[in-house]
Formats: sequence, structure tokens, C-alpha cells
Amino acid sequence: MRFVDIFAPYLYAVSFNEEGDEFSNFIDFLTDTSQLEQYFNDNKSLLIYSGLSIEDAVNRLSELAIEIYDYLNANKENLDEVFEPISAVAGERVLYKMKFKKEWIRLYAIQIESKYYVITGGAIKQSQKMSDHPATENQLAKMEQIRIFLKNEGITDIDGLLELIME
Amino acid sequence: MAKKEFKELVSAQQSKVHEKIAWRKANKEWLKKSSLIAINILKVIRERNISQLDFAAQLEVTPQYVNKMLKGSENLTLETITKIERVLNISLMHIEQYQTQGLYKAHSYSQSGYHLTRTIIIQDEQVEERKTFTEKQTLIPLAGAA
Repeated sequence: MRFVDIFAPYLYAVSFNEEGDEFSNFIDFLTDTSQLEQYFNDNKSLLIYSGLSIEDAVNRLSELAIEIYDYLNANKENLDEVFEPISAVAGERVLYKMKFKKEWIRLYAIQIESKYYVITGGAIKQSQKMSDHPATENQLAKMEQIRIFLKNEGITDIDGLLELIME
Repeated sequence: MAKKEFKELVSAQQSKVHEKIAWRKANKEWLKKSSLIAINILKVIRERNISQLDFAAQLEVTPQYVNKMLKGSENLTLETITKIERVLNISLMHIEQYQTQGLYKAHSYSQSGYHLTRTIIIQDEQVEERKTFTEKQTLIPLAGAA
């Protein structure tokens, strides 16, 4: 597991291999027509409830990819205003599980400490509870896996994360 | 660990997302068209139960190229688009004929002269303007004509 710079020193993303990181991979998904066409075929309710055609939905998601990137860049020094806890019950008071919401998009991150975040992944939100849909359930499991990894490494603040990266 | 040292380290490992977004911004207009073409192809091959592998064979390209094309990020040539249209027997592009403005066309002749029409735009609406030229007013002889 590696941590790559998105908007250092505030925002990083988890990387599991040399191919890319979880933020870059999610942007790839939002701009991949083939994958999105398959996704909307498997999840037709999203189009039915939104009243959008598949063409409009695919186009909107590719626009959102750019909008999210620009928004994070513009607000990188105020990430505490960007991310919110994934649920009312935040659990342990270290390494919070956080989310950023924009329309259908959910971006997930672990708060290392105030102002410092690591993106763990993203998904198209469909159901009220994260665990109700495979895509978001998968993100929840991944976020927990990364949180446990950081906890086991003794990372509870940004300096701890920096030390981990330097090893 | 000092934060300064960390910054130096991570700068060498910057995410590829920055160049991807910059590229999408610079190529936004044609990428939208490429995505619409990809959706049309995906709909057709799904409906007709054609695998991407078979589609690649029919198109005489590699499966990797079809994969890239269907991601909606390929700058397709007119040659490729025409080939896809032929293989799938569908239309992917419709080119509207540009209507030339302001040139008179003769459509009939009577004793009073040549009756001409031309299309002009008035307040965003196409209007047909008619005019009659007497023989005296007409026509500048072509070079070399007697």
C-alpha cells in the first residue's frame, strides 16, 4: 500500500499497485463510456428515477469528474469543509471515515487529522445505506481495511503518515 | 519526520490524475462526440448479441482498439467511422448540407426577363427573396463568349 500526492500537503490517495491510485482510478471510471454503459444497464433504476437518458448520464458523470477535481483543488486548504463523516456515529475518535458528496458521486476518505485526508475510493451512490449496494459496500470494506492498516501502523496524525511513507 | 521532507518525497510520486484531467479539459468537445458514438455502438452490439471480439474481427482491427474505442476516448477517423457504419449497418454521423446564402438562382424565364430567387436570413428566419432581371440587365458575358 502506497500513498500518492493529490494536492499535497493536504490530500493523498491510496495506491495498491503501480497502475494508479484510488482517486485516479475513480476518475477513469467516471470517464469510461464502456464501463458506465454497463453500469447503467446493471442499475437501470438510477436512470429511471433521474429521468436521464444513458447518453446524458454518461456525459454528466464525465463532467462531474472534472468538477470534483477542480473543487478539491480550489478547496484543498479547507478539506474539513469538504468532507463529512460517513454516518452520524463516527466510531473511534481517530482516523475518521469521511465522504464527499456531489450529486450521484461519493468520494471516500480517511481523515488522518484535521485538514489532512487520504482518498480511499469512490462510487456512484444508489442506496440510502452504503451497505445496501455492492459498489458502496465494497468501498466501505476497503475504507475499513485501510483504516485498520493505518491504525496498526500507529498512524494517528499526519507526521505518522509521513514516517510510514518514508519507510 | 519533517513535513518539508515529506513534500519532497511525494512530489516524485504525484498521481496521474492531474495529466488525465488536463487532457480531458483540452479535448472536451470531441471527447463528448466520441462517447456518444461509443454508446451507440455499445447499444447495437448488445442488442444484436455481438461480442466485442467478433466486432473487432468484422472491423479488421485488434480487440484492444475496440476496447479503447468503446471507452469513448478515441479520436476516430472518418475512415473508421464509415467502416463501423458499414459493418453494423447504422448511421453514426449526419452531415447537414450547408445552405449557401445570397446567391441568386434562375428558376424560370418569361418575356419580362429571368425570374431569380435567393435565400436570405432575416431575424434568424430563412426567407426566399424573388427578383426579375430584364435581359438588358443580364448577364455579364462569360469570358471568351461572343
